[in-house]
Amino acid sequence: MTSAIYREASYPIRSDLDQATRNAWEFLGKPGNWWTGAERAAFVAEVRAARDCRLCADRVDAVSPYSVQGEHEIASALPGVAIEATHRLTTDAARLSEKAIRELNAAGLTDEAYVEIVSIVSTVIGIDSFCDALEIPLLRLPEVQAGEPSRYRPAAAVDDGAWVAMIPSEGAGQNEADLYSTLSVPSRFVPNVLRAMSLVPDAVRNLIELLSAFYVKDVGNLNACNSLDRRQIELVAARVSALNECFY
Amino acid sequence: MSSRGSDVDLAAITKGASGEVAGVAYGAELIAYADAVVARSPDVAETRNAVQKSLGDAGVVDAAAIIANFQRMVRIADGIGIPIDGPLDLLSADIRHELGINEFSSAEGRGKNGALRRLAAPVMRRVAARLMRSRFR
Repeated sequence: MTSAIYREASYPIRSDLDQATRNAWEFLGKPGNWWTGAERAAFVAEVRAARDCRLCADRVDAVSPYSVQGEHEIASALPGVAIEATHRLTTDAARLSEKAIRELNAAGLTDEAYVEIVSIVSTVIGIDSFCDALEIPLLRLPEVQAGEPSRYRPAAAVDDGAWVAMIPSEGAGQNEADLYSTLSVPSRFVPNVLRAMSLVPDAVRNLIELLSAFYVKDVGNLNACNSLDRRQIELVAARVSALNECFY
Repeated sequence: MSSRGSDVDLAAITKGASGEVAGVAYGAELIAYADAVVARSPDVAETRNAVQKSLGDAGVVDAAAIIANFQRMVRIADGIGIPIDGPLDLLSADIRHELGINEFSSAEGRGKNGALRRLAAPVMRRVAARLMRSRFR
């Protein structure tokens, strides 16, 4: 299968991987809830800059990221607080804390804008890691689409134990009635990781599409697998999570 | 981990695989590939070739996709600071302790520990397994 987006891949790429990537990449270039398309594309460049940022590398090696001061090696004119959030999420997410998020708030980054950055960074990291794994060139920056951010904040989002508000699994409300409906799990069992970015509902829709291509088609089905069996899938998943020291 | 009723060597998750991973076909190859990709190591090609020999082209692409997916998911979980889902917090208490997961940087304030939970966990897993079998029959 020749991939339209992974043109230089020397392995056959499943059509659903190709389509999910194209949709996600296009989504990155569109205006979001809090950032313009141009800003969102700039975040993509910033994620890539973070991968080779000397300050980030020094912080990762330090006992505490707060013990290392300096300037990030940057690729955009995004606000400094947004660049800080992007670099931390890219290189040292496991050591983020509620304190760090409150510091970002104090520096002018709202929770909503931050969640959209989480969505962008995680989308880019996933797709770039896929390219790294197959040793194909990283995708070009997304095509920017004009327009203003929607500034939409879902009314149903509440404080539910995370560092930012989330939409409850059973209380998605009228505008977000579809949000968890494609998952074959009872509404009260929607896992927190799928609710995590619901302060920006389109981030969740984007994630679920990516999950069905990059993980398993039916996330709620414990027997779902692909050419790897479920044990192999979960071993790889758990290993990557452990390497990143991700507790969840 | 077989003492917990599983035939899978869960220790490979946190310790890596120096040989075969009990209970998971080609587990060593898959772990080596994941390690190389996450570290952006020069060994990526060699580890990928080992996966390709064992699992074919489709296996390589699917393994790459899973690695990519969880590179994504960990940043969502750690970026938002989500707590462990309630039932899983109890069901995994002993395994988290044994694998050293409670010592992860991101663990602080995110899950409940304690000896009682660790003792209860394997019993609760058996109960949960029966419930799941009856639910998904």
